[in-house]
Amino acid sequence: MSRRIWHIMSGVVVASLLAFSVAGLPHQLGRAHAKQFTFYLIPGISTDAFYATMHKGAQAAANRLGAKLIFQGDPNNFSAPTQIPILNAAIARHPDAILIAPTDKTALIAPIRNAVNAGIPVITVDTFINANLAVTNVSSDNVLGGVTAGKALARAVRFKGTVAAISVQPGISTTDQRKQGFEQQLKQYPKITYAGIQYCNDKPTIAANETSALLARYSNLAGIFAMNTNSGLGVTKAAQTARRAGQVKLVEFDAEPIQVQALRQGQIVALVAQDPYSIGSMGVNLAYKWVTGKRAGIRKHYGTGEAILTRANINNPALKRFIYTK
Amino acid sequence: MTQQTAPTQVEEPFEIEAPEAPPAPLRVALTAFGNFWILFFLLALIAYFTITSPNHAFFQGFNFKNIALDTSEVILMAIGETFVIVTAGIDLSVGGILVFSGVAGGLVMIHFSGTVAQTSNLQYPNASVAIPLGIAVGLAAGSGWGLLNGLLVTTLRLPPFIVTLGTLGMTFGAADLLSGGTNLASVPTTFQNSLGNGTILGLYAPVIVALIAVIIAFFLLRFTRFGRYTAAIGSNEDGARRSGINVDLHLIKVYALTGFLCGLAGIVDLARFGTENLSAHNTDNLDAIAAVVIGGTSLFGGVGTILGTVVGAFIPTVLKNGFVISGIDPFWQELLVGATIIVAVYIDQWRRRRLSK
Amino acid sequence: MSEPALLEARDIEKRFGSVVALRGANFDLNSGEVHALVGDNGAGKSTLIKVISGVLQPDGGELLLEGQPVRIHNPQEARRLGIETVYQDLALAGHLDAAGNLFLGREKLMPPPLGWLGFLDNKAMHRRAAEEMRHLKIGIKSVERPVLTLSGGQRQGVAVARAVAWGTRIVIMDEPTAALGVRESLMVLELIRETRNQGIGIVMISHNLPEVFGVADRITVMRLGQTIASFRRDETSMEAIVRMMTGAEAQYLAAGGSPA
Repeated sequence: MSRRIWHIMSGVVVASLLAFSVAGLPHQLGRAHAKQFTFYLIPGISTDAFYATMHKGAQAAANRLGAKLIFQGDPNNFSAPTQIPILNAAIARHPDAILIAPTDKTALIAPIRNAVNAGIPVITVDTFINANLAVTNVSSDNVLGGVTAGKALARAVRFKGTVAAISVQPGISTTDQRKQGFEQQLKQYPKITYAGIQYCNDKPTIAANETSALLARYSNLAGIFAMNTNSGLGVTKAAQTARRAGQVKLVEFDAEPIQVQALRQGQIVALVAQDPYSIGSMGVNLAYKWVTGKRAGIRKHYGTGEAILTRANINNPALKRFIYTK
Repeated sequence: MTQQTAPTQVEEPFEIEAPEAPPAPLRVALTAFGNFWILFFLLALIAYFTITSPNHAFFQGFNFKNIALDTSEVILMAIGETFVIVTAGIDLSVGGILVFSGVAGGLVMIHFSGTVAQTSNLQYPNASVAIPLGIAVGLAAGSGWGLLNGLLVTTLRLPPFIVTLGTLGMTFGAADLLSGGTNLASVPTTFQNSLGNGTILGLYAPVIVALIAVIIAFFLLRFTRFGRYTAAIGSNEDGARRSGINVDLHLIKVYALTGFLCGLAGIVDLARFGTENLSAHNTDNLDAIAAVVIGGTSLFGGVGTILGTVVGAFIPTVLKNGFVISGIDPFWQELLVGATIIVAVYIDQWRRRRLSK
Repeated sequence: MSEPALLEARDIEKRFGSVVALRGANFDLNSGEVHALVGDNGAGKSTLIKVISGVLQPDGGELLLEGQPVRIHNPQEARRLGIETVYQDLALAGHLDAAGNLFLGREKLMPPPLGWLGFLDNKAMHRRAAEEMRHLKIGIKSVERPVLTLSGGQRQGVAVARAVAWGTRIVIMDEPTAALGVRESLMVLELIRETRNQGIGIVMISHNLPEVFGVADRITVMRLGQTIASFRRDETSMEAIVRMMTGAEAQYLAAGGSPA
């Protein structure tokens, strides 16, 4: 192929790259508007249906209020090293507010402080940090969620046997609270042996490996509590592969489509579903209130509801919004 | 019968038509980036994001400082990777060495800072002893793994790709074992506040560390015997051996140097985040190798550029930062970063082919 | 009594398992001469060369340098004794320039303190390299270009200059013009002559008899592991050499032909 054709081809590639970039740009063409507020929503990881559902709720609220919502998150890792550069870039943009699901209680303190010092209000959604920097926090009541899961699992294993738990990483506020509630509740059942908790770093494959190891180690393992979407995905998969889903009682947090399907098929006993849609919309509403000066009366924490989904009630239309969608 | 005789006289001395080389300092300056095109490309990207970002938000000291901070660890690993690739080798274990060094150093730091009761309440009474100790252990751990890489490559005579693929798994596995599969409890706050979040002359401390490493490495590769041997081995390992160079010893040094730099990156990482997140570093090796290759160093060895590597390391971080500021759909971003790199490297290769005609 | 030869190999024997590569090979070299070693494939030329350059150890016979018996255990020792080899593949580091290759393994460092850190004295090395090139009349406009950008003949020049620059007394050249075109071959032959004129003894393996006859002072023929004949160039002809290489000499003489 002649050199000229290569020149043209690379020119076309570069031009299309530029076109894509421009297509994603905010439009600031000429017209004088009433000020449009810009909010950033930074999830823990952008490819999780939980956060995708949160995005939907947030976007709906933003549309209603005429605000611009920018959703930016790392697609591969739920971790501080991958989230902090994104937060820093958002701060550079100087939006009117930042909604963020911090991936680490301590590591995100300094960057969030930077945002606040730069005059950008921060609302933490889902997870929180160990410092009083955020305007408010919107999340499910995770301690209660853990307690509820403990009750559901205990009932499913008929109050006796060995149970285990799989979570993400210590240091994440939400899962730490779920663990707290769950372990507290388990103490109520003298005939249940707790085989402890393992961590999967939000990687379903690691959760699956840990589950397989548990199943191999405890031939009469009675139940497992998986504390978030990705742990749940791994746990369900491993149990299915070992053909022991159903025999081993699974209770999981969150309601991804795969988890819901497994629930319908009887492989999962109960799902403690959060309401990420409401977390998103409530977060945006509160941000809007704050930036428009209506700050009086904004509390430090807003709890959203949880629903226990079982095979019995899964088709109840009132519970539809607790099922996460991408 | 007449004997054939070969003609014994050459008409004129054999010369190549090459222009006189420009004076030395200018030449050093011009070729310092080895790959001038890539530098232009980076500057063009910066200009592009400056122009198109809302309120030109991209072009701020605050933002540049953060971009430099985000790139500092990759730069450290990529410097080592440059030396390795110049020897016509490769090191896939860089991310794993970083993580292991961070975990080892962190555990030592926490252990020697105080009792378990104290440290879990964020009290670190012996931090002034524990911190240097932890740093030393982290650096030693990194160098140790690098040394192992070098020994395996030279004594087992296995391809570096295979050896370092093995140590990649070993380092991550060992780090998991040491940390129990979870992130560490928090390291002393003085450590985090000085090396992690502290600034010197307005730049974040990790950036200063990376800058010092870059300067040293630049001179090392270009102007010292160590750098000369590195290039000679990559250019013709057998020829280097026959010239009396102890190739095995030199390769061990190169891999150990890389391990040291990854250990340093691990310490920096520990200081920045207070803990080690293993899965965040799974693809560090690709980032490091990409930086080296984009920067113009040939994967076949023999020639390399440290400053090119630095530019190559910045291109992906500048892209990602610019995309976040401009609000590009996150699901398009990975695609665009990959495509941009292909375009940049392609145009560079085309330019080189033009020049060598 | 005449001066002893610069190098002498007497009755060299070498076996590889049951294969006898050399069975009583004899060879000698004087300074300031080009002594060509010719023979068909498998005659033992490379093996003999490797013994002389220390790559192989002989199973029998001895080597003498200026009349003194020596044992050469490895190429480094050969180097120290002033024996250098220019291999067929030249063993040059293509990305380095001529100076870099010349000084490979023997780099000049800056004076202290920079020298302690290993800093190279590139200026001095470039100067010396340019001098060596001029000495051997090798035309390279710049000693600062990577040698892979040079022509085959110039690369050969760099390899020879490297071999010669370090007080070498004996240079072994293995098929020096094998990969070169006509013009470049002529240049290399001129280079060989120039090197000889510096007083260095050159052992040259070659299949190219016209070139051998163009540059060699003496020619030794090997066949089946033995050195069967040795001539000064004007004592013999190409046809005779070929006959000896192929073993047809005996028949030829028996049929009444005259030697050489």
